[in-house]
Amino acid sequence: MKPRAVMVAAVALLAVWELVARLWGDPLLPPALVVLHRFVLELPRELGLHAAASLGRVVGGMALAVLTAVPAGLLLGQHPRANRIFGPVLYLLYPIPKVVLVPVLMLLLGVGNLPKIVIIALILFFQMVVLVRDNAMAVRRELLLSVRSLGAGPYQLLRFVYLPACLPAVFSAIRQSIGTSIAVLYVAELFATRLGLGYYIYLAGSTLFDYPAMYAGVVAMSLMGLGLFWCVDWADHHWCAWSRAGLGETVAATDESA
Amino acid sequence: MAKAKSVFHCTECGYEASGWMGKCPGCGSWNTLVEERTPATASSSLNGGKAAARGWLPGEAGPLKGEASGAVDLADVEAGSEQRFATGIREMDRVLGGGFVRGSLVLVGGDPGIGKSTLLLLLAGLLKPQSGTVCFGGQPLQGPSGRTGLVLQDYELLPWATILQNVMLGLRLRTHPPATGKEDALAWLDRLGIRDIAHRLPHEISGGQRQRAAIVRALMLEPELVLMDEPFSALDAPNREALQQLTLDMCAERRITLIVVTHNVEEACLMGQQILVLSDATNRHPAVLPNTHATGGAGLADPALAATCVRLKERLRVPA
Repeated sequence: MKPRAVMVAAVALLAVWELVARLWGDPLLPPALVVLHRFVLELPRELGLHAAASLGRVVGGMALAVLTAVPAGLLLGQHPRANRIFGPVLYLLYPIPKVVLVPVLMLLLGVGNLPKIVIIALILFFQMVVLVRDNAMAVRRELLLSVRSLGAGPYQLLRFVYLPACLPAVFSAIRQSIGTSIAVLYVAELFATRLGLGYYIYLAGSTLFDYPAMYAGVVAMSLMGLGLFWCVDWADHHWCAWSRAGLGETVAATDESA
Repeated sequence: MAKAKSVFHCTECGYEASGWMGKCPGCGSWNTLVEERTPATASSSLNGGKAAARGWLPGEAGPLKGEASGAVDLADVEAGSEQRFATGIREMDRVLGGGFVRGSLVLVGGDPGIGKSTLLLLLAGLLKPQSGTVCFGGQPLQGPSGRTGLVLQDYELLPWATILQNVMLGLRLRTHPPATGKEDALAWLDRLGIRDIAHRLPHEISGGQRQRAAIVRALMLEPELVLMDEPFSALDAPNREALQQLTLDMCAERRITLIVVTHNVEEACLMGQQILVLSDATNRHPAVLPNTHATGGAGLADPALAATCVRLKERLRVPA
């Protein structure tokens, strides 16, 4: 997505928001300009602090998910027997809405940052483990034979074949679950914390009835999601250009073979 | 194993080098180093020298069997339970018969599933036989030996790595890669005319270029044996012919034994000094065709080669 196109869309959305708010005139929907003004005012102060706390939790959750799901996915993808045993377990656990586990995790892990990070990691874990496993299984047998014939052992196959082959899957999983992660973050931050955008939005909206501040929090949360999305997109573009081969990006027209 | 003594001289400046290099260190010109065989190399075929192990003496389309070590030997190998599969193994064993392959051997057979590719994987050490042992250089193969290069039909380059990274993969996998690895790789790429695409990804280049890269990747490790499975069947005719000749030239030059699996009769005749015809279980007469006219350079215009072609086609003909 080109940044300019995104900017144009953002301006258009803000214009519609502004128009609807002015026409409606209810305090429940303050005009966009008022909210943006508030956002700019608040950001260097309290709002920035809350956003930083939230961002830390999301990134921590993602990191935890990558560190656990990638090895698990690679294991399942390379060892059919492990996949036969744990595949059905994954299949059963995948559809459980993880957000319902927030209270349980808090009882188990305390009220600090840990349960919030773990719940985000849990959501990402299942998507990532399935995608990584599928990618690892899809590595061509002939490719493995060729690399083995050059003298690669199991570790080197992992390092030079399986890991790079699964990198696009990791990025896809993160990209797909950014929205869910932030939604769950909101829920998780309603409980037992005084820091984070979820807390900020809830406090401003339901206790202080300061709607411009609440919307400023919503804008901050959206921008956080957008920023994460862009980061993942950039990394994907940078490291996984090969995976988009055949999608009409850089394929040479000189290919004479089928 | 004793290293064969071979000397390379630059045709431009007379520089003397102990191994082939793409670029002459003396005068800097490309592809000017020519090998001069010393008597020690020529006579080493009986004392187990490396040249003998490679079994190729250019201009001498010798017999398949021999007494020297460095042999590919399939002693009592069984890889699968299927009968037709066993036929292929038995024939290969009979042909190789405890000796070694010299020059180029082509396995040709009409039917898929007859075991041509499995044979290659056995020889590469990538597949363990159910019983028996595959010997290479007089020693049983325990796994990929690092002395065997493998080139498959669909190139099998790492899609995320540039061509240069791909051809250097074998060196990177070694614990002590040589410092000159990159220059060597570039010299090889230059030799095969793909130096200018060294930094492109495999999907950005043509099939012919990809197969050239795969060949470089196999030859980079200085193998004694190169195994190719339908290496050129995905290529168009001009590319196929160019690469067939290039492969033969390079294997002759570096005394690499070449075993090619193909279903293409013309390719078998052009490339195989020996042609092993693998047929299905109902064919009672699998055979080896000697083909001294291969690699002559005249291609199929050579009438003797064309005659071999016709004979081979008759052998492979499916009853109507």
